[in-house]
Amino acid sequence: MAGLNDVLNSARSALIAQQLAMEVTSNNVANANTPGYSRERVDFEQSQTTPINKGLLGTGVTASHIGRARDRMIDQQLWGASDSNGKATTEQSILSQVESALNEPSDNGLSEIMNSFFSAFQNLSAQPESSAARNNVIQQAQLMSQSFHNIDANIAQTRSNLVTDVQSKLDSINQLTSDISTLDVSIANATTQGMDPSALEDQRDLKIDTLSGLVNVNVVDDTDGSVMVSIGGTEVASKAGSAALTSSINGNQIQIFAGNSTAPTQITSGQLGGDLECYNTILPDYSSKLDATANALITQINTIHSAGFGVDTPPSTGVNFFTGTSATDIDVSTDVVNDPNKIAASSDGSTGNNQVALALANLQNSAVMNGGTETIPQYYNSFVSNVGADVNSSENTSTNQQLIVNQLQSQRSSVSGVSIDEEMTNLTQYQQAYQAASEVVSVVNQMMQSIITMVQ
Amino acid sequence: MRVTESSIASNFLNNVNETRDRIMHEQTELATGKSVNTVSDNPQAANTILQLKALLSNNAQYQQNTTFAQTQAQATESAMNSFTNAMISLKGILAQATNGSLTSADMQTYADQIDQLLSEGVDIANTQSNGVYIFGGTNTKQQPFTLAANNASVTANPNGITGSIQIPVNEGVTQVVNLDGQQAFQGTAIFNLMIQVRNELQSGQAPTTAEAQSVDTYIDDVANATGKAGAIMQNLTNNDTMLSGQQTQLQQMLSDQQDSDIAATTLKMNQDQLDLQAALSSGASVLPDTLLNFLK
Repeated sequence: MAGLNDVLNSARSALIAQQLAMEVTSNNVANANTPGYSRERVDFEQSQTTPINKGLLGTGVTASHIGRARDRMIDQQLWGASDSNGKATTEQSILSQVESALNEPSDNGLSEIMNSFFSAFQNLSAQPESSAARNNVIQQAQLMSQSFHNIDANIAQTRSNLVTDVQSKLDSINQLTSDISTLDVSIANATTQGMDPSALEDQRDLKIDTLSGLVNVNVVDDTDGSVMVSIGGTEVASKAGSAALTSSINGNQIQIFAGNSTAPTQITSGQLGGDLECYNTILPDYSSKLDATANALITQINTIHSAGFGVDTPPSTGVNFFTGTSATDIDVSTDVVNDPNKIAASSDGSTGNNQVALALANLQNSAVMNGGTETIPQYYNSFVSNVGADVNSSENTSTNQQLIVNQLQSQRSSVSGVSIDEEMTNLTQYQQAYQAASEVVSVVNQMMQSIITMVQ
Repeated sequence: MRVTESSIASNFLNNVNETRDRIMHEQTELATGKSVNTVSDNPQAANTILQLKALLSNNAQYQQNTTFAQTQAQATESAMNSFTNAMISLKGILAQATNGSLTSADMQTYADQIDQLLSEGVDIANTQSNGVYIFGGTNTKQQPFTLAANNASVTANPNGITGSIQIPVNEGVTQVVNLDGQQAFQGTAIFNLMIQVRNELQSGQAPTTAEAQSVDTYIDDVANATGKAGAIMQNLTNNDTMLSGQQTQLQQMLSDQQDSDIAATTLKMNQDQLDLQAALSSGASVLPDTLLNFLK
């Protein structure tokens, strides 16, 4: 038979449960804008019933479980999309540095300077005797060499900057994996002791969010709430510990190693992946195309030039116009700079003969690159549009991936985000339930007073 | 779907950013007047632009070459005209000298006149334009003809007075712009004939009919050469017109590729500005709304 005390007890359980729910609500509202926070829910459950002769009687309410609202599938998708986005964004920012160094299409780009260089030879062919025309050739050639040097230095600088950038990214990654590992240990302990690890899990998942932008990660959940994070097939963080990533430059390539492993880890994506692809593949390819352009100019011009004659007395021949072999060291030979009359315009030593100057000017239109399919300016121009296309495609990828990331984040927020409306609605409900339970206590109190008065 | 305040906020920010990005691009396009400002704006168009610019740069150089060649051809043509006049005077002298009896004083006068024509002719043959001897063939820096003391003889530059000078005047086209000493004056042949006739007159001997006939032949040769100089001039003028036409066409093509369609871009930007204003105003009214505002 249930007494007044039982009524008081169930009202008390209601007060406790509603108060707890209000604490959770208050915490949700407090963390509405905390990054990585997942809203928490309280599950109410009816307390154990006691059988009486009329049936089963409830004994109040308990808050059975406090847990975070989280969709693991969205997390996995988001981590997968973040690394592609990180890679595309990084590549875009690195490659646009090269693009702006090329400064095309403009009147000061190498393409236009190359045009002026060949025009200078044409001009020389019209007036092979003119010292103004000769000086102009030297000036344009020096301008062109300088432009090659500048672009080459810019690519080299961009590339060497990546070494420090990779190191700082590795530092961040190592800090993150070590934090994840520490958090995992606490999460596993909490779960074993039957405590709620939500706050720890939120912190850890936030770190995985950051990590997934930096590098391609694979995350596998364990039953105790901890995770196993691997990069390129190598485990880097779990409750068992973390493996630090280190880099080493091997034969002009940056390689990444995990822990004590001697086999390089495959970094295919993320900001680090973008850095590595630029350092290991894209920028060396740009350099080699620029070098090929410079080298073709040097060898082709020299071959034609050294067969011709200058206008000095006696007419000099066998003089090289350029020195060097690549974009780094292309330069007008000092012979020519010191004596512009040594520029060979003539094929027979007579001053008015312009056959060599003509041949040099015509080099602009002869297909000597790429197995005889492209002229030197065409080869350079396709290199330029190649760079532009790379920037353009990484820009598009980055935009698309950003859309996907935004979409997934909005989905995640739909599940885990705090809604003020919802919290306020809940709060009102809890408040009313609390007030009702208080009313019950006060009624029971009056009844008890009545009984006591009755006894006196 | 459950929608939270932070979803609305980040969605709002993303959309506003995107619209602002579009407006920034359109503004750049309007400010520069160009639709392709970097290669990545449109890599394919950029490649075409670079090729068109190369063609334009060549075209400018061809025009410069043509103008230079025109001054040389002009000098050649006028020199040849003067030389033709000298030859006609020579023919007149010979006609008088071969016709009828002459006193030795007359002969001396004719001899002096021919001597005068000789030095005039050699001067013409040594004409310089822009610092080069135009009749020297490819030996442009050495005087092609040398008149010995007392006009005794004329010698040609031992290194040669022949060779044509070709100047590139259009894509794959070169134009011969000079007449060499051989073509213009038959080497020293005409001068030698003058010396021969002068010497005969000085020694009291009238010129022969054969000599007069030779002069006629040489006049034809010189006229031919003058015609050639005129043809060169004509070719260069035609070429100049063609180059200007090509330049206009190339510039039109370049403009099609790289210039911004101001009207269309302005329209697009107005549209985007409208979008932005709508986004901002709706954001401002939606963002602060929560249940909180109504709970008392």
